Amino acid sequence: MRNVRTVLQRLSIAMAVLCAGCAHYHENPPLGAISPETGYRYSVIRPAPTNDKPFVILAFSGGGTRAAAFSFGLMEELRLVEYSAKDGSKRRLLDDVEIISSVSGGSFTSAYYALFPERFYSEFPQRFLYRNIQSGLILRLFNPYNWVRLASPDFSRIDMADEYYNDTVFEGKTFADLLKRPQGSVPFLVLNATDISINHRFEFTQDQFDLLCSNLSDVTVSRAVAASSNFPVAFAPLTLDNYKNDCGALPEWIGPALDRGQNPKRRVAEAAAAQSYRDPDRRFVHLLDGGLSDNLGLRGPFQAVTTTDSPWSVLNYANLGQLGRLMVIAANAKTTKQRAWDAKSSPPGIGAVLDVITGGPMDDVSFDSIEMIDGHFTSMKQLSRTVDSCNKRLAKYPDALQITNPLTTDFTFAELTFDDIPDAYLRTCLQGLPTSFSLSDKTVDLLRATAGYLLMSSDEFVAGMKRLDPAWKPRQIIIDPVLIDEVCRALPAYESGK
Amino acid sequence: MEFFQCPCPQRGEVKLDGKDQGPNKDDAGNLLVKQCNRGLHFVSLQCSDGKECVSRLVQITDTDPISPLEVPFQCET
Repeated sequence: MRNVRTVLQRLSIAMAVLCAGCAHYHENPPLGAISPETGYRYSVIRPAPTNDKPFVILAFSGGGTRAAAFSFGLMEELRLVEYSAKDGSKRRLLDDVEIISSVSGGSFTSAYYALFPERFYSEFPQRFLYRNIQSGLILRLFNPYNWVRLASPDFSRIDMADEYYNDTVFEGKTFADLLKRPQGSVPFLVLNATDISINHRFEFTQDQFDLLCSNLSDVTVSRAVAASSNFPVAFAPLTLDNYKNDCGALPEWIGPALDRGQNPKRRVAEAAAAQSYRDPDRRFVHLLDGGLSDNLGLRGPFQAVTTTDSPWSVLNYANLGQLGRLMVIAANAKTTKQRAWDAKSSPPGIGAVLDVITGGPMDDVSFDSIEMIDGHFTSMKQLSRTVDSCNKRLAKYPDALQITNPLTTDFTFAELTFDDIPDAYLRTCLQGLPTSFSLSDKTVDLLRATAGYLLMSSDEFVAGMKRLDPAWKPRQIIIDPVLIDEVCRALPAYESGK
Repeated sequence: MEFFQCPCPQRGEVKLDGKDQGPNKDDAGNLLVKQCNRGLHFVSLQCSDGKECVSRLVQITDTDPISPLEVPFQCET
């Protein structure tokens, strides 16, 4: 009997070791040769833009379910925004969304919309927003089968989370499924993670995967969302294979951009980051939450709007005369934590310090991103006005030639943030919301309503819409005070805010 | 933001680091100003009528929309 038990024990250990050995999760296949006409790229997903309609870019921030609900609220409101086009027809602004760039919690919303636009509004709330994702993840962690798999060095908690998102939210869809949709039927999706070896933004597009000589098409969308929302410490970094086959040359801009003496430091850094994937010793890529390099999803759009280096450069379309109006709308679900540490002499605990370490840099990067894009738009408007002013003065001299103004794009940047809510009670309440994958139904309802309210009360958005259609008027939105009270009275921030 | 234009006796398509930026001139023959980010770039012009395209490595910096950098080309047969 004792022998049988020993044999069984040894057999169990052997099975566990075998299973752990089988648990392998680098599911990004190699790419034979780079082809600019195929794969998940802007130019493949969208037809070339035209001057007669606005080019809309949406950016969804991180922040767990709070961010997902807030960005969903923005999508709900955008669906209702209609304007009169130049030919007199009515158009929905939602149909002009060319690109959605997202991070972490916001990536669940953007990815679901790109995959299932027909049932996005009816299904996503129940599928994700009102679901206790956090409990689902914890339950999987307590499954003994996963303990064995987690013993493998090639399978970690983030791979388990990826499986959960794949099973419960994204139905096993891959980037190839996104490519099957008719061109122009959905926006180009840019899911952002952070490459922690070079501390740089990493986007799930074929242009990025070209650098790894890997084919994005067979990668599941859930894997990209898992990487984008891979919160440090809670999960281990997500690993991708970086292949060393000769799939094709690096983009042409990288060579000249590496010249340190003749380029701005940021451009050199971008080029060095791209080139690093071809280094012989970089055989794998380790990814964490996109928020570590850009918690708003705005860095990619900034690069696209200000450079011709971006693989989906929007500036290129300005040069081609195809960019009449550019509108960037950022749903920023950032919170402002009320810290009571300074009232006591004892230092904050390890949990509080970890919270600062993981969240602090995200807030700083976000602030910089807003400043950068807002500053760029302001500077472009000033340059354009300068040319117009010059021409006004030149007009006084009959022999003087007029200067053709190359800056013909109309720029709008609208940031939706809780900081702009005039009501201190609601503002403090939302700023105190936790970052988690589980919020009460009422909280989700309040976030959805707030996004619509903030869009309709954004001065920048309203001004941009009026330049597009002078007859357009914002919808009057009043957030239900009963709903506000139901959510906010349960939060610790309630007293201080009230 | 930086600005440049590509004067050439012929009409052609401006390429910046291999990417198409549209024609160098409008239909009336006026030079068009192109935008790019600051730094070193490959600029070329694909001339029409089978003329040869020439590529040049140019530093584009300290420009403005009123006085863009001129990157002249001479299309060769």
